[in-house]
Amino acid sequence: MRNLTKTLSNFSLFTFIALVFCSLQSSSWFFLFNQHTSPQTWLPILVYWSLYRRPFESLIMIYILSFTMTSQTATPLGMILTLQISLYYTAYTLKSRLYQPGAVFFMTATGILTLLSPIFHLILSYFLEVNVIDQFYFMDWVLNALLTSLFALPCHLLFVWFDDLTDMVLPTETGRQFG
Amino acid sequence: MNYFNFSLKKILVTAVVIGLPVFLAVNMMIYTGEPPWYLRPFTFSTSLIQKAFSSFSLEVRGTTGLYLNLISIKKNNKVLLKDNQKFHAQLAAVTELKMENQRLSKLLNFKQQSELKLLAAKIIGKDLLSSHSSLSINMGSRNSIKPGMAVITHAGTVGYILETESFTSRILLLTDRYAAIDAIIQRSRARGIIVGNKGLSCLLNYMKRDDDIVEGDLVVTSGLDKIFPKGFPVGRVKKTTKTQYGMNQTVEVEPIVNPFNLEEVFVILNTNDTQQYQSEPMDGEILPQKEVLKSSQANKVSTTSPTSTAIKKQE
Repeated sequence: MRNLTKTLSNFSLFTFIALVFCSLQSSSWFFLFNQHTSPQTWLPILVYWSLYRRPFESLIMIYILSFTMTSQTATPLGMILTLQISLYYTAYTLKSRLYQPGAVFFMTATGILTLLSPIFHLILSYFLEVNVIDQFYFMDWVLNALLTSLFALPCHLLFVWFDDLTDMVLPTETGRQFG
Repeated sequence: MNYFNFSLKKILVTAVVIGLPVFLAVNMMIYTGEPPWYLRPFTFSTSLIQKAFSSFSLEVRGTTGLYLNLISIKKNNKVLLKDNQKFHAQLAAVTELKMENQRLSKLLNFKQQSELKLLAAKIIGKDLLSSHSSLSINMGSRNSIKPGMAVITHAGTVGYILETESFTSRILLLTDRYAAIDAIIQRSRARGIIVGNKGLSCLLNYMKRDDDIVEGDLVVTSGLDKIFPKGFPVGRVKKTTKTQYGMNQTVEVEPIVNPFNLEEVFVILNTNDTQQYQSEPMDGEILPQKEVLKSSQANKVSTTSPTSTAIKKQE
């Protein structure tokens, strides 16, 4: 069993970076580029934890990420959690069927999940909300996926570095580290 | 000695020896005018060569000077460019300050003229997800902000407070699909509820088919929700659509304020005191204040606030 302090440090680092990334998107991007499409900065964290962690750990991180996000959006916590869990299951399926180690797979997975995220949100909104989402911007959708995929590359390097710092072992292609 | 035996050679030499100084002495006088004929070939040649040399020298001096100047020009250019950049930056800063000053002056005037208890706040962020339209401000519950309080600017309605933290609050913009504000058409006093629509537009719902609404009509707050002051501008009617059947008409409203271009807003702290707001006449319009009062008295029966309903729904 890994050292508890290191596990907690890993969680703390990712929680901190989630806060930073969410603020980066909601504040810095807004002030620099106003209403222009921004990358979903929180998504690489979700993808990383879905691909490289055990389900229980991923679930905890999903909760942390949702709590972080809910302070920066008008979307209710329940909706964010449901959306994140739907995305987690998609990422988990990708991991169990197509997993390859490395940044390219991580970027691809992030791109796919960014494309799926608004679709899931639309479906969930239709079933769970009173006022359903009735807008969908195609170019925004595509650009968002592209920007988030690109953003995933430096994120991957950063996250791997975090894992190195906290002695977290990344899964191999055989998938022995999967939960 | 033969005194008559002349040697021509000796005579010539003697003559030259004696004559040369005399000749030179005569030619030492300064001529005014053209040089004598015998000097002309020399002066001419000299002048040509001199000219050539002088022009060559001048060219060399010019080129050298130019080269030397280039070094100093380059230096000067660098200094000037730096100065220029500095002045540009200063100018931009001054322009920015000037604009900020104008904007803040407007806000200050508005605050001073208004009887409302207003709290100025700065926008610090927007919604993380694109499915909702909300903004965060740098004032929270510590500044007496509570959920449901109206958020405005000097130009018009922005939205209302959705949730508060200690130091920040979240505004639900009137363009959000969960936002609802009780509003009336300023000209005809037809009443409806403003709800968020796609992008940066709103819908004025529950308008009867025979309500008098034309494009460009100003939509103002009715004050019946006890959140917004009465008569505060919300938007302008962009488009009205009547289907073949049905009791209502669809009214699309363009908000007066583009919330994403805002930097500062006001939160109305005395939310529950219904006050009438005298909005600035826009495009020569005059607000029919008497009619507004009459309308407010006539509509006192209204009990449920659509905005509070929306908040409940959201919860």
